[in-house]
Amino acid sequence: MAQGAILKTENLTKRFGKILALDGLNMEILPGQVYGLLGPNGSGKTTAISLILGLIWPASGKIYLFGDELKPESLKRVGTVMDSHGFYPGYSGRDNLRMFGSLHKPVDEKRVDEALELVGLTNRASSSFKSYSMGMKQRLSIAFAVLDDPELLIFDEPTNGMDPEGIAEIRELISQLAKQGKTVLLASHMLAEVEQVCTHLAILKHGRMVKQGELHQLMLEAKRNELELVVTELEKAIAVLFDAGYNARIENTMVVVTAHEGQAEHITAVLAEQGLFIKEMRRRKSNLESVFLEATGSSKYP
Amino acid sequence: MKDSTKNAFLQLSRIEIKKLFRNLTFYFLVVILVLLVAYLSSVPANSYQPRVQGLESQLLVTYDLIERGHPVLLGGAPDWFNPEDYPLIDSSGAVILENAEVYKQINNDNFQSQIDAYTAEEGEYSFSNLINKGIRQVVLFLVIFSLIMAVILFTADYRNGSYRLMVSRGVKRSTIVTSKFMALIVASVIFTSVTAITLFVSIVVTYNNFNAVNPADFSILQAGNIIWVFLLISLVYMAFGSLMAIVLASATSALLGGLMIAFHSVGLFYITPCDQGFLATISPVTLGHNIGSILQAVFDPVAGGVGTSQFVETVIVGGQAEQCFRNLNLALPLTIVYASVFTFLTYLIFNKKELKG
Repeated sequence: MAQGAILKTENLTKRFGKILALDGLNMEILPGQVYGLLGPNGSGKTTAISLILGLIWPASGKIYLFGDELKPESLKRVGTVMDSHGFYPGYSGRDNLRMFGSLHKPVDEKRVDEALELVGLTNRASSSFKSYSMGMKQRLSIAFAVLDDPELLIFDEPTNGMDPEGIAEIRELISQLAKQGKTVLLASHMLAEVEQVCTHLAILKHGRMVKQGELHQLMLEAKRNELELVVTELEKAIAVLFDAGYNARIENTMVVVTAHEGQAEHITAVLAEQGLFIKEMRRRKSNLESVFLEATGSSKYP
Repeated sequence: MKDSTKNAFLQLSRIEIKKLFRNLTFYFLVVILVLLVAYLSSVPANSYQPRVQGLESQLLVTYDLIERGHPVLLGGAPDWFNPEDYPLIDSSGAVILENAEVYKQINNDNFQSQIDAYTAEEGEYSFSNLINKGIRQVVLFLVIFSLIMAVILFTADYRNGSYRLMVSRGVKRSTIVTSKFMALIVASVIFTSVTAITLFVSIVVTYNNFNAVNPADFSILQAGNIIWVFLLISLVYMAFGSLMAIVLASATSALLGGLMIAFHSVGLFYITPCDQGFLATISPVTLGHNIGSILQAVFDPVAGGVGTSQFVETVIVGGQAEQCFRNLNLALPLTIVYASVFTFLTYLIFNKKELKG
């Protein structure tokens, strides 16, 4: 395996009965990377994370954490945020951090306070966990994940159930952690989340990794031959373009045509013949959605 | 044991015990256990007063018969008594009052000795015997409550996702199970103590109501026997409950399945191969039968057993009394084997269990 990889999986495969949940996942995360695991619900992200955390067992394949094959000892260096928070409902947020934070070493009260402060839970730290909203539960999970200053942070849908303000804060927090040099694995089905915080990306579809690499590079590679047109009569423009043999669709208040830049003149002429004049035309910028759509062969992000 | 593993074990055990004492179900079970034990252990003693009253009525009827010239002696005549020396009716047909008093006195003595025999050492209503009968009454609830507690303690963390949290934090699965068992041992000691103390107090209160002497026939040995036997029963069924909880990972399923099996198991307490049916045939290797053997050996031994390790119980088969053997040499080891197997399987299955979200 590559020297210095924090996390590496080799042909990681998992079946649930007849369902192939993960099919030969090969992934390598180096120190300092913010690695996004992107895919729609059911694509195998949580399965991959559950395998990495030793919660379920692979049908085949191997997992290396900090250079060694997965063992409980290595997981002490990992902070995790999962959907099933796991905290005791009858105890306060602070008590939960104290209890779970002291499993391997005596709890550092100062670190508990700092972690609560970091996620903005100081004021509600003494309230019972069961009284917390979904977003607060998620924040406490994040506080717990960062409590011991772990080398690797694994976030599984960390902004689930959070309000827009909370989502922005959590994204900012992940970015901060990345700037501090933390290695992060972020599983999400939210394109914007992954696009904003990740440096590297793997796209999963039906348990298979269909693309992976540096996010910036992937975006550059995904130059889709699409032109955006601003015209007055959208429906009529679509019909004219179809008749002329173009694949076109309406997005927001624009017509998006599958065509390369050399066809711009022809498109302008075809539309003008029908009395439709283009107010604006530009090549469509590549974004994560286009990377995803190209990788998965879908026409729309689910 | 590595320092971090030891720390995780100590910390988790502390958390589990703390959780136990904050668990309302635990207190609910303790209160119900106290009420049931208090009520059920007094049941055998409740028949004492009606039986004494029955004897008193019989005595009064006897007096009446004697006064009317019938020479009735309930419970037989004493050795010194010769009916010819104490004729009840003279030649004129009148009752000889002096001799009638002798008859009455003999009947009264017999009546009194029967009453005394009830509460004398090894008597039907002796303190020791009432304790033993009480044990039979309450042991079912000790079994059920121990099983319920184990299921609740082991399944709560599936529901909360706490097992996932701990395992993802690098806590060994065996450490998690061991800490749970620590809390169960504490719960078991409390259940056992509560059951034994309530049983004792309840019978002391009932016994004192008899206006009889103090429970002198109850020994420290018997108290010790109650403690170890109750503890053993509680622990073995807690181990079984833990196994059910780990296998089924759901409180409802584990409780339903566990209680169904536990009821069958308790039914086997009193079944021997002399009884009919498949369960009776295989009973000597079942947990229930062997716990029944321990209960019988410790609290209700029958004299005249074969050898030092066996004793007999008499069952009615086809209307005829038949002697059945219970092997005491095997009862305790087999029970311990069952407890060990349940515990081992709990560790093994939890180590292999997939903790899905």
